Amino acid sequence: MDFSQAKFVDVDGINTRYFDKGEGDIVVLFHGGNFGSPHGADCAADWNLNFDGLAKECRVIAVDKIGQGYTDNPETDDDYTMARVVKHALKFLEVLDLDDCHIIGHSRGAYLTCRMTLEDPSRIKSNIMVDTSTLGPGQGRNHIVFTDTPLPFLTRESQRWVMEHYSYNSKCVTEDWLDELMRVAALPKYIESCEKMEDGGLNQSVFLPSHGREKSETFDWLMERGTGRPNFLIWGHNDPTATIDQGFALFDMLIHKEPRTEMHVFNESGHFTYREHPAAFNRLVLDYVKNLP
Amino acid sequence: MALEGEKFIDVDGVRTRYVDRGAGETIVLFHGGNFGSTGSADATDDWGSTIDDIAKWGRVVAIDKLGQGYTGNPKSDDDYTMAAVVDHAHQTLRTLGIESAHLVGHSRGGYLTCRLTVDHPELAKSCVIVSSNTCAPGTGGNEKVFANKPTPSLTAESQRWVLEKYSYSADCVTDEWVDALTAIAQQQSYAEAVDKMTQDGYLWTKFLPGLLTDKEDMFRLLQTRGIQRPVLQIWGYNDPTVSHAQAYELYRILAEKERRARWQTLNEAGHFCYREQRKRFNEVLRSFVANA
Repeated sequence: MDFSQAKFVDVDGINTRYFDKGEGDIVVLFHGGNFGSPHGADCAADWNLNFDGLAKECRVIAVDKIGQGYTDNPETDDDYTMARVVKHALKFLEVLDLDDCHIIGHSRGAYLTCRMTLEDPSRIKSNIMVDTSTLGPGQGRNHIVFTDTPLPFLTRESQRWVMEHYSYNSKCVTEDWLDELMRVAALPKYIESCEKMEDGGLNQSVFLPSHGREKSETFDWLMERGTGRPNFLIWGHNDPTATIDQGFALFDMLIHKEPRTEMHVFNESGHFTYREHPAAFNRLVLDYVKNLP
Repeated sequence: MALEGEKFIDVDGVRTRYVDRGAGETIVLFHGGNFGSTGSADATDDWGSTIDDIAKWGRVVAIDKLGQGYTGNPKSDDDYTMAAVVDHAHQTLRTLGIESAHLVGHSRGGYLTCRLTVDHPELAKSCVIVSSNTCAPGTGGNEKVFANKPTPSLTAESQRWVLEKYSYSADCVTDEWVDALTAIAQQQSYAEAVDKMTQDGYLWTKFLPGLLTDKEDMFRLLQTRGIQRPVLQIWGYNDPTVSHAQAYELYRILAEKERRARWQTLNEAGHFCYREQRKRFNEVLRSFVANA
């Protein structure tokens, strides 16, 4: 993944970074994390071990979600919500005029892809979700795993520690990935979003409460009507934060109204399953999207 | 009614039927069930169109296990065991000159592929275990599901009832399949095996006790040295005989020592998940083999 090949597009006034490579079926990658997180500056670079491999057999697009990576922050304090993230992502598909998209979301990005599919599936062909306690029923274990995140936050050592603690094998935490996470964490707009979320308290007052409400609403929708699109759930057996039991529980909810749902488990894999098994992950996903009727 | 590509070979004095089609990576299929079963007369015919699908991208070799399909019965009374089935499968691969292949087993055949792989890793490029209560720890639902099956057993009606009970939807139980298994059960040799297993009681004196001991031994090997090969479980989520919980228990054992352990769950699929989710079964198997 060549970070110098970034493109930018205006999405409802939000300058949005994305990477776009290859031809064929359209696969759009949505990374995890959220704006102003002190634990890690997740962005499209999370996919850097997968991007080029996928691009050999399809058109792959990796986008920085609103407020993350090099994409602008939300406009107002009230927009520091997952709802704003969903709106931005749906608009991104529209602005790029992408149809029949296979959307792959990781962690908070999997909540995003599920919610996108529920809210407006018109441009979506399948919904692929990877390791997500943001969407999975019950609580993730992040608050336990990251209790002792080294201070100061967002230094290279601190981000490395976080990513390694997410992972089964620390080899998937590569230097080029950390380089990009460090560049993002140093951006003034990222520092500003951290100040808003942590010091300004938006995380506790706006982001988490609104997500809790909407997660509950999402479950109502899954049990009432389902996604209406094929779902593929991919999970790391050893994910220390989004536990596999959450995956099983989510699978049970997804199949309730959408029979075209399946689940695949990788071993010796923490939260970043696609980084721990990049070749096998890409093969599995490519064979899925290329053959989907 | 012969299967396309059907052949016979002598394996240590046991006439053995197999199908050999396609070219490329060798995928060996072992069906489920056991000799002298009064439920269904499982054989290579169980795989149905799965064989056609795999033959498009690989060489598929599907073998009738010892005492099943059109393969001869065990030569001696002491061979009415799973161990003899595993040995026959091993010798069949040797006789066919297959030195290393992707081994795919369903149900009792899943135990067979797991056992072959753990005992003879050099034979296996990878191991695939499909909806197998025999290979998984814990108790399956068979006794409950198949209680009061229609009598007389092994008629077309009785076997259809059994296969439908195994399945999420009766749609996968085709007339062609039922007819094939009915013809198999009508062989004199099949009736002889039924007599040995039930009237002579070998099911309770030899087969099941031997399997129990062998399974414990296999779990010990899986937990100490591991399977040592890429391994994939493919499970039908709606299998009334093998639960999701059993699949998870088996996965945990496999995953403890083998990094390349994977597990695919197929929805709206019972015991014969490759028949009910034919397309995805084939795609997932192919993806796995490509990386194994």
